[in-house]
Amino acid sequence: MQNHYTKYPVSLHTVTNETADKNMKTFEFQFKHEYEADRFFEEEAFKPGQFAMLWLPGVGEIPLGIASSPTERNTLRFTVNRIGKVTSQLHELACGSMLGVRGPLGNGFPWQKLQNKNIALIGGGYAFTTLRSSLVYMLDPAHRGAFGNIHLFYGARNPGMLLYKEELDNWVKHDDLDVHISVDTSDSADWKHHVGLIPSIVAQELPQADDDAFAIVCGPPLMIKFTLLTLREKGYIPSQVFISLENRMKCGIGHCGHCTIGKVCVCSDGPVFSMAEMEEMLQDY
Amino acid sequence: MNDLQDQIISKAKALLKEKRVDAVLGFCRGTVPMARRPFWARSPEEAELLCWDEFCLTNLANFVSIDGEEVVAVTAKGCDWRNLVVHHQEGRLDVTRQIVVLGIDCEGMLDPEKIRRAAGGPERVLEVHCTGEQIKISVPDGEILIDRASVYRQSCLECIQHAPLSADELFQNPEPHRRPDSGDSSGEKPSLGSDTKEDALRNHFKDCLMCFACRDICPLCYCSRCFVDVEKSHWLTAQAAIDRVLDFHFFRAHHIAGRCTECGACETACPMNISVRQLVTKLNRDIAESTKYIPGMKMDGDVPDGVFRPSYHEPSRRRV
Amino acid sequence: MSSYILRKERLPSYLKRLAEKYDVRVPVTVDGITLFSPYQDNLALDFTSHARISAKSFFLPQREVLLHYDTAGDEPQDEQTVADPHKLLFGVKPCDARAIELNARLLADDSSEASVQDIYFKRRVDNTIMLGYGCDQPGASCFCPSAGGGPFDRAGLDALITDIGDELLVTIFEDRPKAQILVHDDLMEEATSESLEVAARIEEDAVKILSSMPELVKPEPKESELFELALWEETARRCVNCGICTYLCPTCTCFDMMDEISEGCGTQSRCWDSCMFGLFTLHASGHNPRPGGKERVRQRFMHKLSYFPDLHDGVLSCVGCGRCVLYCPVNIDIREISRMMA
Repeated sequence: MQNHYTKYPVSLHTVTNETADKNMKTFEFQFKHEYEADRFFEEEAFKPGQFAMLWLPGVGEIPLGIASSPTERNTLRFTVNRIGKVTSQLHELACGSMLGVRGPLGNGFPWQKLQNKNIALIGGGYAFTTLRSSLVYMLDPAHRGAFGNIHLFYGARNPGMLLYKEELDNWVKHDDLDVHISVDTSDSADWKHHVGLIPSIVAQELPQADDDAFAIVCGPPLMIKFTLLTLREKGYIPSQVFISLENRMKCGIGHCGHCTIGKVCVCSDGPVFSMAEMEEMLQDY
Repeated sequence: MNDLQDQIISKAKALLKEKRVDAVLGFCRGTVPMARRPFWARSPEEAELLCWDEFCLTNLANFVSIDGEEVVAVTAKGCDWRNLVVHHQEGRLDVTRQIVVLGIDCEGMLDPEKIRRAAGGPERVLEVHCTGEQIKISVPDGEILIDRASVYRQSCLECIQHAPLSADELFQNPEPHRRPDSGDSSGEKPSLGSDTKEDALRNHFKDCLMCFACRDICPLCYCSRCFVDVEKSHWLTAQAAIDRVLDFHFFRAHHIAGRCTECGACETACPMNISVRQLVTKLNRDIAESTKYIPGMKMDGDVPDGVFRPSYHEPSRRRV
Repeated sequence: MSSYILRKERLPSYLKRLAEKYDVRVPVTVDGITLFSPYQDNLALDFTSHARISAKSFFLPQREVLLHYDTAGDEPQDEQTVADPHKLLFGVKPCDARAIELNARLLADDSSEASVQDIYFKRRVDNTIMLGYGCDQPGASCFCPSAGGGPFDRAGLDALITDIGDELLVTIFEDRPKAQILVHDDLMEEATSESLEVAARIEEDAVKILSSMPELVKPEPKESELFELALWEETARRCVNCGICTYLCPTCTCFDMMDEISEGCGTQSRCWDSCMFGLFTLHASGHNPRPGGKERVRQRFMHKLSYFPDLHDGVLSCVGCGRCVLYCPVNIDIREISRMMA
């Protein structure tokens, strides 16, 4: 029987600062054992939208959305905000440190349903990590043909807080992708993109929905709330919209009871839920 | 004690009818033998449900809310009142404006665990009747009679202040039971026949579950962020469990030393029958020896230096 | 099932025999607290009182090390801790045994391919024999029938003892392979039909006693209606959010995980946690979905009486042992709450 608490040893390969205030960093890990990477990517078939439990020995384990795509086979990336005990220690680690990973966990985005559809990825603030994974996955030449139009909406408070800045520049130039980057405020004359809150940019730029339109929304609660209203106005129905929820987690496998919302367990039934499922949920989050 | 109960109900009804208080906080009967629960009567009809007897064990000062502008009448034994005094001294509330003290000249509470033990186990207690100097326990195979004197709560045997020193009204039983003299256990080190003091302490607390009921039922533990919660799971680690248990009890004892009125609510709440009070009782004795200070006796009294209060580390907790 | 008679005077020898091969635990009361203690000769056994800490502590211990590791080498190694040796719990009340089956619905669910089982819990279930002792005199806080069980219910048990006077009737459940080791022909005799009749009457009487006591009621309304009841705020007024109900409850299984390390050697462990504690749902950002007593009291009772049954064929997450009712310092009574939810 599998012990769901054992970890895959991973070594910290690179650390990249993502934001001007240095509170968001991307940590890139490599599996120590190739056969374990095989299990993670192939047997367990990691797909975008899933998370992993990252373990710092002697400190603790935290759930993190996986920022790298399954197509980036040799690496496992997490973009982490320094906010608590474990994340603060993580931010101090040197390359070469050995950590542990459990995963992939959770349900991920519903890739079966998204085949041949037009997808709107809408992200705000720090919650862009699994959207990055999804975008890289969809843009991969092996997969691009399986999806229709892709719209990307990504906003942050100011230019310094945007994640993956280099990649964003490339995506903006991509001719097979409709990209809208926005900041709440900008003083810079060099800012070439939108200024405004994401829900209003979505209202401006996203086409009306049809049967083939799906949307994935990740962000802080207020941004999600207003984006969902906007999507409704665009004709999106609840089963066409997906959100990724967060909650305090400990085991990550549906046993410890911390992440439940009514009958639903965020780590094992989610973390991705359709709007229709969200509307059924009790207001306990 | 029925007469006392009638007096309380009558007064409560009057206060509520005249709208002099928003609620009367007292006790009402619970759903199993000897169970009493904190109860807020908000109308004369509800006041009929108030009760007073030898099982009104918990300390109602723990249940006085500081939110809002309510004026509440509280049925207060000596120990409940002393805790209200401490709250007043610490600025948690203003007793003179927010509380109507319905003082009870308490005859001492009985210990349900002792009664259950006399019955042969908790499951065997079907009913408990206290009249006169004997307690009658109905058990499945008949009845057991025991002396009231043998089942007093230990903290009540050691009580130094049966009634509030000042109250809006004082209620007394015209024919009170006399509680027996205790051996004052004086917070001597827990002595369980072990070799060393450390062993004795570990033994004393070995059954502690870290449920925190002692802390949560204690009126003095009102910090919005308790030291335990700063890193809760750290206190329950598998590697050194009994050491963390002792940490918890020692830290807490030092936080309530010089404030604790030894009401016994902690021990009554403890599901493992641990006499939690012993550590702080000893500290209280030490403070009394050096400063003559007894907690909770004087609303406007001075408190010795070195006695903790939550507002020291949470300025926002001080409301008045 | 097969039934045997064990004369009471032979009980010590029987226990001694079992203790030769197993780590036998028996209920012993010291200073009013009944706990399952390692068997020793001449212990006074108490089969009437509920163990203060339920049998769940043998399957999901309060503190349990999950992994040991060592960072001295160039990668943290982890080894599983070894399961405890085979235990035999002698004199478990049927409510406690049934609770283990309920725990298994969460921790050892094997109903589908996607199910995840907890290896530590499962190993203990596989390695533990439970011999139950039926309740001929249920207490004022007992309510197992309305919770789905009964004073002589066999759920979770390998065998069940009924006290029929000078003798004990030992019923072995043959569909439980582990139960075979409980048969010792030199100490036991085949049960007679009279003894079986006596046992049946004792069971009937116990059920009758329970039927006169307050019951648990399965709430009818939908969860969305129950969620908004004023009951939660009213109850939370006196709830002090300690952990007594959850820690003593045989069907509560929530746990917390922590890491400890010292000089390169560390453990990852878990311990009981409680949805009644303020930190239970606290996010690192400071957001708390259940910020106050009202939300947490609601969670406890909704989980026990609405969420769990909705997920598990209507089965309530309660076995009617009555510990929460007896030991709650403010007398919050799940039977009363259930009636107010209904």
